[in-house]
Amino acid sequence: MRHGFDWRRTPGFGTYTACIFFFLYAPLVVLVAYSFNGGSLVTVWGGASLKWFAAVAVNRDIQAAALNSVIIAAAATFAATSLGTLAAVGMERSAQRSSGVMSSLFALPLLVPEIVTAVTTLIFFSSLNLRLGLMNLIVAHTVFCIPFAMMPVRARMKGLGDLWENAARDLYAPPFKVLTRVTIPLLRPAIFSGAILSFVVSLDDFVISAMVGDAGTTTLPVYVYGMIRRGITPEVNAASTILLVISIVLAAVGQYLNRQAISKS
Amino acid sequence: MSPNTNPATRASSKVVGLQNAPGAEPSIADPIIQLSDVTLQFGEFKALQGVNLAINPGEFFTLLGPSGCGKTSLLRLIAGFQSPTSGNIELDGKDVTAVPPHRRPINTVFQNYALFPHMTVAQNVRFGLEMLGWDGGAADARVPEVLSLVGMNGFATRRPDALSGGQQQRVALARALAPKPRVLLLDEPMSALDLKLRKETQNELKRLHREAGITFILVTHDQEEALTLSDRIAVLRWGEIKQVGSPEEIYCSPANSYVADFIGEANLIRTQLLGVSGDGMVMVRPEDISLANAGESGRISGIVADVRFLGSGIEFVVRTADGELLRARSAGAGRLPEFRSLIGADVRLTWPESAQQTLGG
Repeated sequence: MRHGFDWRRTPGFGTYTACIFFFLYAPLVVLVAYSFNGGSLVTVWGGASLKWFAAVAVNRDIQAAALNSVIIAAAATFAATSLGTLAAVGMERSAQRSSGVMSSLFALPLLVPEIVTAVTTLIFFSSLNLRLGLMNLIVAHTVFCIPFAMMPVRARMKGLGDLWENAARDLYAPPFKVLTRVTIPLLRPAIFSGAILSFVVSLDDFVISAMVGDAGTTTLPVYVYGMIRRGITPEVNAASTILLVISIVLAAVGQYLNRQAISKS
Repeated sequence: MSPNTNPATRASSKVVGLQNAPGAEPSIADPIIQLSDVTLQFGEFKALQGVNLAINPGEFFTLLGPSGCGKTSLLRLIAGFQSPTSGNIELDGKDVTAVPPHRRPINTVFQNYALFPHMTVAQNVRFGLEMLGWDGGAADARVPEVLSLVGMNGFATRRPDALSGGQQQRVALARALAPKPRVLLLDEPMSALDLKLRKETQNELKRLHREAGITFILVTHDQEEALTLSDRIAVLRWGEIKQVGSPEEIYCSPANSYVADFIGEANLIRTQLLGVSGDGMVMVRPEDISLANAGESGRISGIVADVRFLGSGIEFVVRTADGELLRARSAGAGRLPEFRSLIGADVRLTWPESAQQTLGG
């Protein structure tokens, strides 16, 4: 039986897809593989070893940078999730439904080139003469994390409808109790998912952290970049691999929670 | 269950009418809910126009009509989810038009039940009591009390998604009855249930209404359900009330052809055909029409177009001179072959004067 035209049966399509996956993932595979390199050159295999992970583990500077990264990510996640959740609830439930323009304005930070945001933030802080160390980075990260925290909450909010909120109002709940007893608990998976997204985005950020940060506030990605400039050893690979694994695990948990939220509604 | 024994009396003083002082009990004659000239408009679309309605305390009142007739809008107005474009709504003689739903002593059983999925059955039932500020002990006692009222006592710790549709509906009823509202609203509560369960639930609702002793307002498109359950029925169409009355009144003396046609089955005959002067309509139920005997002249004549077996009886379909199809029912299913031979024959139909209803509109 002859089939009609079907993209999936286009000759060479499979090979093309394989190429794309190769370009996407081969560098990551090489990076991870060479983090187990026993030699001291990034490009020459010197037998399998965990010695560079051990080196990372005892490197005080890496530990300090990692701690900065985690503090910034945790604080920015908390702030962005709180603000983003309330903004999402407000946008979906305000008497005047959010317009397309409003939605676009909230999504715009995702499209603005990060370097532009970084320069603007830097100028903003220096014009205020704001030098609060980590706090500067936390504020900067919070700003770009908000859209990420908002996205899943808004989607879930749309899916919820006003059925349960009406039921709560019918059962004598004043507006604040509707929010705390019904809306927020029902949004919980989406809020978690937004929080994890924010955390990962903050943890991985380089451009803004490099521009806004100073000597005492080096984050892990900025530190790794510095290592490369001092000479590339597989220690860079090991540090990157650790960062990669943390990101993947968090992203997977976020995805899982989001799926659950969607399938429940 | 008089309001002054309600443990919520003190704490819920913000809820209009829940805290009636014993002496201030409204008299039976005063309506509990009164809608005056209520209009609801969405842009150009008039969902309700000029609705006047008085619902008496303790009655089982039904809003009946096809989808889009405005019955659900009316329920949302009474619950407070929607404000009327004009007109006002009174509860126990107090204007509640601008009162939000959480301050009205009215609870709703929603069409999809709307049980909180993140709470257990007991927490769902307790929610309204907590919001009213009942003290812990009274709430602890009330939850099993209402759960056993609907036969769901064994399910207190379950989550709603572990319950069947019928069980969810019972929990929704318990949740709505728990705070001892003045009025219970039921938004097509049986539409999601299968036929057998629906019959059981109807009996159940009747019993709950008797036991709770409060006003029930049911929204339905099912005329049989309305006739079976209600003390009074309002028939709606296109945002207007076409008739309000007891089931007998609505069925036996419909006010207009719309009600006659919507409730039960009806033959609508133009008066001219009956040799009566005037240009009106007459309604006769199929079960009241019979074939005239040989000697009788009958009220109208026609040709038998079909004879149908209904199980409990036989239905004749008779085509009148101006092409209308009239239906007449008779018992005697055993005489089917004899009746079948009448197809194509000229017959005369008759009915008692009392079965004939002259309609306006």
